[in-house]
Amino acid sequence: MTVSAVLLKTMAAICLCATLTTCVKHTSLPESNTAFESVTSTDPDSVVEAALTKKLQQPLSINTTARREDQDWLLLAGSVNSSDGSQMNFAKTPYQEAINAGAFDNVFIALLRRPERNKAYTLLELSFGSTDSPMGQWQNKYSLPDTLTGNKASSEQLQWQ
Amino acid sequence: MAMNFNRVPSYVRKEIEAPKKVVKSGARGMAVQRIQEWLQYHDFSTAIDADFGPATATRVREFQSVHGLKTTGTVNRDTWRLLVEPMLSSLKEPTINHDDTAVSTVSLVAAQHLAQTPIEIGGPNRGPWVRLYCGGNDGDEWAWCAGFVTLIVQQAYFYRSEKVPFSGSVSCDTIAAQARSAGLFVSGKSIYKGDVSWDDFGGMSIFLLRRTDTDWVHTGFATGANKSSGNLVFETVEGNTNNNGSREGIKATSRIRSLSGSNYDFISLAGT
Repeated sequence: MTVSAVLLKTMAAICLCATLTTCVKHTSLPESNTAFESVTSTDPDSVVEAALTKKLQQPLSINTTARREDQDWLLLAGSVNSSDGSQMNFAKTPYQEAINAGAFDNVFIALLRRPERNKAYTLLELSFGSTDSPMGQWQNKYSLPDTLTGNKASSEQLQWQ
Repeated sequence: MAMNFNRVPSYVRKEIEAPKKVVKSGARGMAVQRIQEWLQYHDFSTAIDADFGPATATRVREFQSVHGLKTTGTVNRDTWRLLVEPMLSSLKEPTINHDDTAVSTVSLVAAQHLAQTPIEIGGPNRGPWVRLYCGGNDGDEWAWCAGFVTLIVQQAYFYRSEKVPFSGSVSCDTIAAQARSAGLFVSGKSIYKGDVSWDDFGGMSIFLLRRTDTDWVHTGFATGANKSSGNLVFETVEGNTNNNGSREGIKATSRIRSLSGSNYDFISLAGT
């Protein structure tokens, strides 16, 4: 594990403790998409893992199934497991209510950027748990190339008439 | 009523049009993957690896036998058509009567889809149904509840030869923004307050599950409502959800939701 990854995990643990001690009750539905301008590392997976640890308020590991890079952009997608790699029990996370409401997917999607090769990635967007896709929104917001999103149809091509 | 294949978007045609040649052992590629996915949908499961090997051929023969086809173990037009029949049924033109409104047509089309139990195949947010609802895309990042709503609305207005009141998206937030712009957005608060009656929706609306004023995380069709112990409950048709007690969204199904205690907004298609 890199030094920066260790630092990130430590920061995440500190944030987690702070959150648990100050947060008396959760909002009914957790945030699905958040900007994380301050989270940076040369290891993109550790950036996402740290941000998700903070979001879910417990230690975890990620299983990245999609990884697309184009110029300085990187898109990661996958699912969340417990820190030992077993299936996550979301009962103790802010997401149980969404699960009960039939409005939950164990899927994260992260958009990262690094200005120069060998420099740290910055996490720009992170979506977790939602049953819809932010891909179109992010594509418009950042003018992302299709190669990054993997999008096979433009909004015009989606139209039936 | 049959569907005019030439009039639907190319990404839809890709899912339902038969391969140009008979697909058989040794073949590889997307046509083989689609065959394996549909075999799994029909409970003739085999690995989905886009490689037509002996196991796939065996499953094809079993599928053909059950459906009274010649058991060749290869996929010609007849076998293909039976494999994709559920999607063809969901996409067919509904019988639209002269007194049917846009709302009732959307309800008819939603019921067509629901009847086929659209479901993820091959993993989370994967398979032919997800690609149908997400413009040909599938994979973890293509969560499909908003795409489900979008395609059904598009399909209904297409068969009515009318312009869709909002263009739709795979994102709930984008759909909400489009609805606001088109003057179709109805906040849940206005229903609580009685400013808008459920009857104003004309029998069906689109619900949006809200987290904040600008963040909606789930959507579907609200097809009916009644008062239960003083609470307004409504029936839904929604994609990428689950049955009560399950963990993740994997299919389209009908649920009962309660207006009270949750954060819902709505899109009214009445009068469009």
